[in-house]
Amino acid sequence: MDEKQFLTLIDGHQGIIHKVCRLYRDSPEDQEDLFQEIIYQLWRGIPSFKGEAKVSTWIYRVALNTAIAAFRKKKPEIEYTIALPDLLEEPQSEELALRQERLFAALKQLDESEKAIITLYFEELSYQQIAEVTGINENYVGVKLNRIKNKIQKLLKL
Amino acid sequence: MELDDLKSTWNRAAAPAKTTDELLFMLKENNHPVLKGIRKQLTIEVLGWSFFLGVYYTMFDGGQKPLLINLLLIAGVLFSIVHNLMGYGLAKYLETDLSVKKALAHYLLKLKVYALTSVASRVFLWTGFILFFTYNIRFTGSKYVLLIVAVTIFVVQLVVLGRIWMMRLKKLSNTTAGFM
Repeated sequence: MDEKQFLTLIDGHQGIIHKVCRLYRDSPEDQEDLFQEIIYQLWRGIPSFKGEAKVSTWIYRVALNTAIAAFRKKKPEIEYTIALPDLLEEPQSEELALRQERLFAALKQLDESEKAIITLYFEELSYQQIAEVTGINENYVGVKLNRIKNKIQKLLKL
Repeated sequence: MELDDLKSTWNRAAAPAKTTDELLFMLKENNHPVLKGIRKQLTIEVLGWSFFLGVYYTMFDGGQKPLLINLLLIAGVLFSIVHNLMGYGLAKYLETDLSVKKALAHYLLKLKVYALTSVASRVFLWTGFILFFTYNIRFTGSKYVLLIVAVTIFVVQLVVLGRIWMMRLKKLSNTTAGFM
């Protein structure tokens, strides 16, 4: 796969990578760095991707592996730029922004494995796919998800 | 917020899309934020240590000290560089073809080895330095004080380093257990 094909592939999955970054890192600088790390790991790993799993499943796996395994964090740098930051894809209502803020704040309180499982659930993956990405037993995925959902409900009621 | 709303809220979370040029920039190893940092540190350290190894023999009378102590000092410096190179490899070669659970188990194992190397390289380096610079010295009261200060700093550094690694490994171990 050449660079152009790879970039086309990634382009369609940017949203999930951004969400993983937002969930696993606090500051925008750290999120930006993690995004870059994930893209790099995907590019590095593409020759070993045999196509046995769906591309999206592979992307989730690499994104989560990178987010959880990377322990080194670069110190944030202050960068001055003359260009304005990228605009959001769609204008968000204040209410939606607030709901997202609350949701992400609650999700960040979960432990690393719980974050991974709920992310995959939100991305509409089946229990079998969640099991494939995480390595958790398929029967146990449902049990874990119920626990996580209860935990989130409690967190959101606070 | 009702549970049913969570998914739709999640799905509607928008993010600034990167342009093709920005993504292309991210594919290059030279631009990797973590690897760039490690490379910069590695370059500074290699230059510094190379200079030290180039001058220590004449500047600090390496010729008047036993070969074993010279070798210990050089090995300590080289070990420190190797340790940094290992860190580079650890950050670069993350698992991409295994499930999160298996990848984390592998990573934990590698990190344990790296943690041990980290502590061992520090011990090696300081031992080499202390032996080299104290060999053939006639100790007076003030020199003993200096030695005690140096050894204390070394021990404190080592304890802090050990604790940092214990915390990192414990955190990763707990995360790995979460996937069991």
